[in-house]
Amino acid sequence: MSKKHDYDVVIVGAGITGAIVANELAEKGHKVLILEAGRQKNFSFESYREYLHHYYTNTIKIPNSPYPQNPAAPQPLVTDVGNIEDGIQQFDPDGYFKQYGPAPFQSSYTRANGGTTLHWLGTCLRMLPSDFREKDLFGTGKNWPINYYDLMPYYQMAEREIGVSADVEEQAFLGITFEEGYVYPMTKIPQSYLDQKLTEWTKDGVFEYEGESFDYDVVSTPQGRNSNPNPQYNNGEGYQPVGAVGNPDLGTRCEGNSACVPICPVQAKYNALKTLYKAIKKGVVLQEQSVASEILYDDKTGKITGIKYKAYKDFEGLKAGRKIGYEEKVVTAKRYVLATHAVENAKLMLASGFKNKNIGQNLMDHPVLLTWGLAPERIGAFRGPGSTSGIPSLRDGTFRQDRSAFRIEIGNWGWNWPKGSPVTELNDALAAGKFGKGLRNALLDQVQKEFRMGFLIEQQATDRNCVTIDERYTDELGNYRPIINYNITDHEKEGMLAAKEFSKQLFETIGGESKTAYDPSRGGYIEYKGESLWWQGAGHLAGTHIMGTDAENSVVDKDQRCHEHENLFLVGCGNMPSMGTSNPTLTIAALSFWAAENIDNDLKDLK
Amino acid sequence: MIETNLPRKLMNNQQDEDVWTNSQTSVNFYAMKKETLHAFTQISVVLTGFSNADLTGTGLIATYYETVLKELGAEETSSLLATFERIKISNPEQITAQEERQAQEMVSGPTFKTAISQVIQLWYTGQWNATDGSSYIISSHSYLEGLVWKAIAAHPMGGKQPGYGTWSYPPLTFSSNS
Repeated sequence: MSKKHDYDVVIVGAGITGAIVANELAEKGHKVLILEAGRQKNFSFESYREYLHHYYTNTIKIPNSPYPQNPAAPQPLVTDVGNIEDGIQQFDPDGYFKQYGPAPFQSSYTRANGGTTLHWLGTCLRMLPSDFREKDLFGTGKNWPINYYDLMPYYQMAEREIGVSADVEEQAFLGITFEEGYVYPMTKIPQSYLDQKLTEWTKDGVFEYEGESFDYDVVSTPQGRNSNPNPQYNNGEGYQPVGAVGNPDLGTRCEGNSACVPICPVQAKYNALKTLYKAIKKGVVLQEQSVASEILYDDKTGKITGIKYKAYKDFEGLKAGRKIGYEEKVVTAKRYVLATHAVENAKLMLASGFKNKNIGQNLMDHPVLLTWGLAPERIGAFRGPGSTSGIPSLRDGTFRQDRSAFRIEIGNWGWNWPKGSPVTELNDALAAGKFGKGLRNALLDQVQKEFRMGFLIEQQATDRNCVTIDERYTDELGNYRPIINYNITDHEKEGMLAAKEFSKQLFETIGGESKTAYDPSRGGYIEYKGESLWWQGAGHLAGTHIMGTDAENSVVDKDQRCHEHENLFLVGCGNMPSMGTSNPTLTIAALSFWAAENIDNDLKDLK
Repeated sequence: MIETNLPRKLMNNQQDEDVWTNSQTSVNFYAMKKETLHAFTQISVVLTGFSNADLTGTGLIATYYETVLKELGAEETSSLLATFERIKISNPEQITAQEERQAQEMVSGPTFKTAISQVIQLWYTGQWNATDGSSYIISSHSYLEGLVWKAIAAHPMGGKQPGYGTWSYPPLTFSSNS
């Protein structure tokens, strides 16, 4: 190439996908810049502790509680979704998204170094082989242009990078296979006492629904949190758990802080700061407070010619009413990567006038139907990681033709998610005039028996669920705020009905007491076929620039390259044509290794 | 009252201080008298169901007393403490059925129902909930010392971590009576 570029590769976004691509390409000797929209923050552990203190003293404990809102790069909050009033879903007009409904989009993400892995739970499930061929097998959803077996080696790389704890023999279900002799980097995270009791209480039971029977198999979940290294890993090389950034002796085991979402205090749970830190040590330039605002491209060739961004000054101490100062700059490279989250990637491409009609469409999440109740005896809620096991039996089957599959996540933190426990129980007891030892005993008796289930309902890609932009809705720097149109289908509601029935039968089987009761005024409440249903977001925002075979049906090809822009790669959940019932982070991490390999091959060819 | 073996001289100093605080107005009497902290501790033991040692162990008695004083005002605070003292509970950690009935009347009665809820919430969550709906957490420390976590035999989410694998063992089975 004759033209001189600033860098070999410019990546937008310092979350897990951007960090992996940067680290891999730096390893190969390429000159890499990451533009990150979030505030500048050093990599000391003290700096991370500021997030923790923010969480402790924030009266609202939501996924973004530890991570302060930044007017230069705002982020959505789950509390932006209001109640249902007179049948109409309300939204906070000051929220980052402009939502048109009709259903609320209830998931959030984080705009800071490390991205949303700062507050992810750490679930590292591979997708099922059938999830990649859904259209062929069930006539619903979309097929991937690659299959499970193509992705297998990259899943291994992702499991190494994240540091996944699981026992391989427990994870080979519903068609999932592993290379012979493969073991995870670390042994499985111990299953909670609740998981063990549920295993015992359900062992002779079956769930019966529409003429089919399903086992209540309680299976430990692969997790991106540190456990005991597996000496057999990597042909006997073993594995060294990665501790906290800036404090590497800390966090080499999960210590049971019970706060994975929103923040692991010791970083025993993986976050992308770990990969980012490695990348920086290899020479990657991380430039924060730099919000990409436009992708410049040649109209004839489609080739990207630069990325325009707004570098804002620090706004600490900025007087109310004053605008945040910024400079507009352009950076050039041989290859460009958008890794700034499904919604932000789509927004940026729309803002740049990209013509592919699929951009912004096929927005997906896992609507999570929550159910809760009391175990027949004390199981000791509020201990350990948020979830250590799930029930996979309804993740796959021919029923997917008629209703959504779901994964059942068993929650270790009582009714914290659906009800705000244990503070809600405290307030209820106080309202009833309880005090002293009577108060203590009431709380102990109830909360110790509490558990909840989350049913992650598979959502299919549709063009009606989408991200768009509108010049009337912009942020402080004049960048677009995402406009969201979102709904759930009858196919998904049928899945929710099955989920609700599953919960009912499970509580009967274990001799527990279901306490599930949905409040019609809360966002996410619906009625379907006479049943009340209520769901929340999973934070699994996906599908806004899906992968496919051509520009007609997709934005990127199987190599993660834009069909219409040969020097632009997209990474992250936006590329997923379907999510199945797996939490998507492991899969997008795997795809990021794949993308990095393809970019490296491109760059080699240029030399 | 706690028995003390303090040298006479120090005891005298304490008495001198009491003389000084007694000379203030009745509001300042409760605001400043050292024994008021003791009275606040006594009522807190009864209201929370936790022992004097548990409360002292949080290191937050004085902080919470100041918070209550600031938020409820000196008048309501002293009225609350004075009303409670009239129950004449001999041992707040082991209250009798009769004492409990009287305390229950106070807890459920219209005069102090709200204030008592606020004080218990403060102890249980480290958070002050004002009657106008606003609220704040006193400090990271107060969040971590929230008694609600102890009441449910757990630990505060995000702190006082019990260690690797502890969640796989049966829960502690103690109750508040043991």
